[in-house]
Amino acid sequence: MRKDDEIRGVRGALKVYKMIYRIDKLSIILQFPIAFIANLQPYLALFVTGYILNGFVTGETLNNLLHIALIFVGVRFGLNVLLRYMEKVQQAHNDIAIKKIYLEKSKKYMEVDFELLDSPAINEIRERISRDNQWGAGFTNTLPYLRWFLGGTFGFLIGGVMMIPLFISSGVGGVSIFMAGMFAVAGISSWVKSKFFGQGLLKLMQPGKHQDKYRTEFSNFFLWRGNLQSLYKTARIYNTSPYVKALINSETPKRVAFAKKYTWYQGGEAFLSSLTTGLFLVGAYLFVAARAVAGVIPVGDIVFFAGTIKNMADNFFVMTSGFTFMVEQCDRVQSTMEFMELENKQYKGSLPVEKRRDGEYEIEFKNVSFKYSGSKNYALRHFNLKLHIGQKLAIVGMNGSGKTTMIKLLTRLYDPTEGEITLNGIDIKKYDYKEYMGIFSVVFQDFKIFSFTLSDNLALGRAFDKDTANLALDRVGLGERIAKMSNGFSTYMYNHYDEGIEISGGEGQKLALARALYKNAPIFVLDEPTAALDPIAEFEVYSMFNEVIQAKKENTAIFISHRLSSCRFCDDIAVFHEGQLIQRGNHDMLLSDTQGKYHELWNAQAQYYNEK
Amino acid sequence: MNKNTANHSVPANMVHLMGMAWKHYKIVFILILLQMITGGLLPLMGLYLPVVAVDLVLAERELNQVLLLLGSFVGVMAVLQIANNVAQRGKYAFQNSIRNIYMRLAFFKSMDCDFQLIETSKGQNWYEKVVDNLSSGDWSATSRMFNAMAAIISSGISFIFLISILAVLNPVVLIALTGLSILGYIIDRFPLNFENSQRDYEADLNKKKSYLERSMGDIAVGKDMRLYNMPPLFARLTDEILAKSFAIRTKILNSYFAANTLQGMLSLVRDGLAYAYCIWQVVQGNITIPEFILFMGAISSFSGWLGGIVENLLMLKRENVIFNDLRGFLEATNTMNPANPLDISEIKHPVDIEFKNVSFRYSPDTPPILDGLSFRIKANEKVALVGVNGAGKTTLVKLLCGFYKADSGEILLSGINIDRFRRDDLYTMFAAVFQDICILPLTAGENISFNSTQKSDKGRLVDVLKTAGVYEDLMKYDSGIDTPMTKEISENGVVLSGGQQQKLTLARALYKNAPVIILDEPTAALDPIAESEIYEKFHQVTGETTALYISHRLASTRFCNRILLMKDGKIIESGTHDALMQASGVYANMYEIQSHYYKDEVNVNA
Repeated sequence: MRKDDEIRGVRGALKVYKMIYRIDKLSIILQFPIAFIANLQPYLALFVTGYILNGFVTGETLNNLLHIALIFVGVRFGLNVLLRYMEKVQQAHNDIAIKKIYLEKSKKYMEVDFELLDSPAINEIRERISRDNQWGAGFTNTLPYLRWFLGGTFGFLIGGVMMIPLFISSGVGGVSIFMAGMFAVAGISSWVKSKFFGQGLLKLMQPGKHQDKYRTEFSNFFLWRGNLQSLYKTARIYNTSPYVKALINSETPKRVAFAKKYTWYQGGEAFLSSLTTGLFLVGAYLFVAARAVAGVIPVGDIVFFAGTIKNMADNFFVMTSGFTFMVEQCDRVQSTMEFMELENKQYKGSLPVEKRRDGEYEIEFKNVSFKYSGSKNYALRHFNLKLHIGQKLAIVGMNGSGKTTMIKLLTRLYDPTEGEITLNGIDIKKYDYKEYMGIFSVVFQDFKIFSFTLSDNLALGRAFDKDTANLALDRVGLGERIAKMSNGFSTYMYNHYDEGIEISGGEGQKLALARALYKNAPIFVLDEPTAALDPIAEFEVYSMFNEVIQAKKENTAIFISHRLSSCRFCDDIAVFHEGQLIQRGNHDMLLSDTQGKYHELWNAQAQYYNEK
Repeated sequence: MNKNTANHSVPANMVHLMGMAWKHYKIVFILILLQMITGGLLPLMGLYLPVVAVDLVLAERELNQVLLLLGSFVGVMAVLQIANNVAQRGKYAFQNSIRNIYMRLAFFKSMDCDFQLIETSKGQNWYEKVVDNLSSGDWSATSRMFNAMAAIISSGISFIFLISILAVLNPVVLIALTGLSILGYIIDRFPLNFENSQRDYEADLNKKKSYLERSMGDIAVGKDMRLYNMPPLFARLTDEILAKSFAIRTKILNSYFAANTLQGMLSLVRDGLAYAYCIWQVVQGNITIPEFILFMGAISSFSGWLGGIVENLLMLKRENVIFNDLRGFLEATNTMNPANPLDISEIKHPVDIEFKNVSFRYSPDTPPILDGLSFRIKANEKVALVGVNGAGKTTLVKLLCGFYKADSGEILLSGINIDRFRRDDLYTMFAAVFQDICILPLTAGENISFNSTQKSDKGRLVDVLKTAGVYEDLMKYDSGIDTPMTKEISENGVVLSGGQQQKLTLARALYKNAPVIILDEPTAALDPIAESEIYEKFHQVTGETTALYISHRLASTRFCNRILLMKDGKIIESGTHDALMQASGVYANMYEIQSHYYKDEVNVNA
C-alpha cells in the first residue's frame, strides 16, 4: 500500500531530518559532537592500556606510568561530563521536537480544506499512516536511528585514524592487504545480507503486502483498541463471541507464516553479521599476534590494535545497519510527511465581507449541483434558493434529501460542483475565507463540547467577554447552573482534560447554542439540535431558539429538524427532496397541498398527536 | 467486585511466561535458553581474550602454536557470538506472537467477563491499561519481562565468575568495589525518585496533549473548527502544554545530569586507584602483565555488570506489577453466575417480567438510580417506558438483561428470579436494540446473524432486513447483504447513515427472535416517514413476544398496550395512553408539550 510517488530512500531521510531541523535545531546539531566524543572514548582506553603494557615491557618508571594513567582518568572524566551535558540538552530537545511534530500534524487537520478532511484521498493517507506506524514508532525513532548511524560512522572513522601507526610501524603493504581483505569480506557480507535477508525483511514488513485486502487487520481492529464500548452489550445479548473468536483465531496460520518468514530473515541477517564480526575478531587477533610474535610491534599494541580493528568492525556494522534502519524508519514517516504537506485546493478570495448594513444581506443558490467526491450520486441537483436577511427559514425533508449538504455548501465547507452561491450578488468564493466564516453561528447535530474551561468553550479562541457570556448563558437557561459552579468561567467541562464537572446531554446542547449566541453572527444555523433530548428539554430548546431569533429582527436563521412541529414558528419552510427544493411557503400553505411532500411528512408525525 | 490486579511474584510470572512460550511457540523457549547461556559466557571470554593473546606472545611460543591456541579461543567466542545473536534476534517475531496471544485472551475476556467488569469506568480503565501496555510492542510488559529475564540470568552467570576473579586479586578490592557500587546505586536513586515523583504530572501533560491531538484530528469537530475559527485556541493550549513539558523534562534531565556527574567522580576515584594499585603491583612483580590486563578489565567491568543486573531486577519488579494487571484481568472470576444454576428452559414462554421493589446504584457514593422500583409486564404485553433523560430507563434495561445485579429486590422472568440462571443462558431470553449502535466490521449479514453467511438462515436474513426497512438500501451495493460494513478494515466497506444503522440493529433483534424484545430509542435518527413506518410495523416487529419500548417520541407509545412513566428511579404512572391523559399527570403534561405545535389549531406565539 505504498504509493510509488512517495519520496523514499536517502532523499526521503534527508527531507525528514530537514524538517526536524526546522522544528528544533539542537536536536539534530548536538548529535554530531555526541557521536564523536562517545566513540572516541573506547579508543582512548585501548590506547592507554596499550601504552602502559608497553611501559611494563620496556621498564618505564612507576612515576611515568602513573602519570599517564591519571591524566587519562582525568581526561575521561572531563569528556564524560561534557558528553552527558550535551546528551541531556539533546534529549530535552529530542523529546520536544517529536511532540511538536505530532502536534503540527494534528494542526494540519485544522488547516486543510474541509472538503479534503473528509475525502477518500485523506482517508487513504490516514490508512497508510496507521499501517506505517504499526511496525515502528514513527517519528519517535527517527532521531535515535540517526544517532545510531552517526555513532557507527564516527566509530569507524576514528578507528581508521587510530590504525595509522600500525601502517607506519609494520609497513603499508602487509597491513593494507590485510585490511583490504577484511573489509572486502565485510562489504560482501553486507551485500549478501541486504540482498537475501534485509530486502526480504523490508518487503515482509511493507504493510499490506503479506496479507489479503479484506479482513487484513480483522483481529487488530478488536485487539488494538482498549475501548469498544458499544460492543460489550451487543456481544453478550447476541452471543457474538464464538464467531468473532473464530474469525480472529482463523488468522493464526497467516500470523505464524509471517513470523516464520520474519524469523528466517532476522535470524539469517543476525547469523551473517555475527559471522562476519567473528571473522574480524579472529583475523584481527591472529594478524596482530603474528606481528607481535615476529617482533614488529610491541606486546601492548596487541591490545590496542586488535581492539581497534574489532571496534572498527563492530562500528562498520553499526554504521551499515544503522543506515538501513534509519532510511527505513524515514520511509515509514513519509506518509505522515505527505499528509503534513498537503496543499489546499479551495479557492479563497480576499474581498472583505461588508459590515452589517442592516437588511442588505442576500444569499442565493444559483443552479447549484453537488456530489461528494467518490460518490456517484448528486447530493444536490440544480438547486435554487434565495434568502434575505432577517428571514427565518426552516428546512425539512427525509434523510438524505440534501439538507445538511446545503448548509455545508453555504458555509463553504464544500464548494459546489456546478453553479454558484452568492452573497449580495458576489460569489462567496471571492470573499476572505475567515471573514466569510465569521458571519455564521452554526450548531451542528454532532457538535462537541470540549473538556476545556467554560470560557474557552464559549469564546473558542476569541477574546473572552464576561458580559456577553453571561447574556448568552442566561438566554439558553444555563445562567443559574453556571452561577453555582465554584470556579465560574474557569470551570472545566467533563474530566478528559482537567478535573471538571459532568454535564448532561441536554446541558451540552444548550451550551452549544450559547456558544453560537456568544459568537453573535448575523446568520444562525441549527442542524437538528434536539435528537437526543427528552420532550421537555426539547421544548425548552425550541422555545428558547424561537425567542432568540425573534428578538433580533435583522438576524437570519436557518433551522433543520426532523421534528416538524419545531418548524411551525418559521415564516418560511423549504421542503427538500432528493437534492432539490420542491416546496416552499408557510405551514398552512404547504399543508393545504395534500399531494405535496410536506403534507406527507407532517402527517407522518402529527397523526399520532391529533387523533382523539 | 474484583480487585484490579493479581498478586503473582516475579518468579511465578517468569514461569508463567516461559510456560506460555513452551505451550505455544517452543522456539521462543529454546532460543531464550540459548541466549541466556551464551550471553553468560561471552563477556567472560571477552575479558580473557586480550589476556590470552598477550600471555601467548609473552610466553614466546612458536607462531604456529600461538595461532592455533589463540585461533581456537577466538573461534569459540565467534561461534558463541553467532549463537547469541541469532537467538536474540530470531526469537523476536514469535515472542511478539506470544504477546498477540495475550492480546487475544484479554479481548476475549472483555466479551465473556461479567458485564460490570468491563462497563464501569474502573473496569474500562483496567482493560484499557492492559491493552495499552500489550500494544506497545518492545515496551510492553511481556516483551520486557522476557528480555530482562534473559539478561539477568546471563549477567548472573558472568558476574559470579567476575567476583571470583576479583577475590583472587584482593578481597579488599572486591569490598571497595561493592561499596562504590552501592554508593553509585544510591546516587542513581535521586533522579529516579524525582522522575517518579513527577510521573503523574507528566502523565497529566501527556493526557492533555493527546486530548488536544485527538480533538484537532477529529473530523466531526472539523466543521466547528472552521466556522468558529478555533485554531488560535488550540495553538494557545498546545503551546502551554509544550512549555510545561519542556520545563519538567529539563528539570528531570538536570537531576540525571547531576547524578551522572557524581557517578563520574566515583569512577574517577575508582579508576585512579585501580590503575595506581595494579601498576604498582606489576612494577613490584606481584602480578604478571596478563594478570594486569585481567584485573583492570574486571575492575572496570564490575560496576557496569552489577548495575546491569540491578537495573534488570528493578525492571522485572516494575514490569511484574503491570504484568499482574494483565493476569488479574484474565483471571477475574465471573461472580454473576449462581453456584447451582437452573436450566433456562424452566422459564415459561411467553415470558412475563416482574420487578419487585428493585433498588440500584452504580457505586455506594452515588445516589440511587432505581429506588424501590416495582412493575409487571404480562406475557406478550407491549409496554412503553417513558420519562425525562436520567430517569433510570436505560439502567432498568441493564438490570433486566442481567448486566448488573440489583442491590435489593427481585427481578423475575415468568416468576423465577433471574439470578438463578447463568448469565449466558439469561442473555438468550432477550433481543435488544441499544442506543449506542454497534456495527462491527463484518458484512451486513454477519452483523445480523453473527455467523458466516453460509451458516445463516438466508431467507430469514432477507425477511428481517425487509421488515426493518433497510433491505433495499443494501441491495444498492453490488454485494447486497454481503457488503462489508464500515471502512475500518475494508476499503470497500460501506458506512451506513445513522438511520440505516438503526434499522440494521433492529433487523438484528428480529433475527434473534427471542421471547423478550427491548427497543431503546430505536427511531431517534430516523426521518418522520421512516419513523412512522417503524411504528406501523411495530406489532409485526414485536409479534408473539413480550416487548419493552423506550422512546422520547410519545407518539410511539400509542402502539403499546400500556405506558409506564418513570421518574427518579420509580414508576409513577402506569396505564393506557387515554387513561394517563385523563389522569392529567406527568405523562399528560409531557404529551401536551410535545404535541403542542402539531395541533391543528395553535397559537404560534404561545
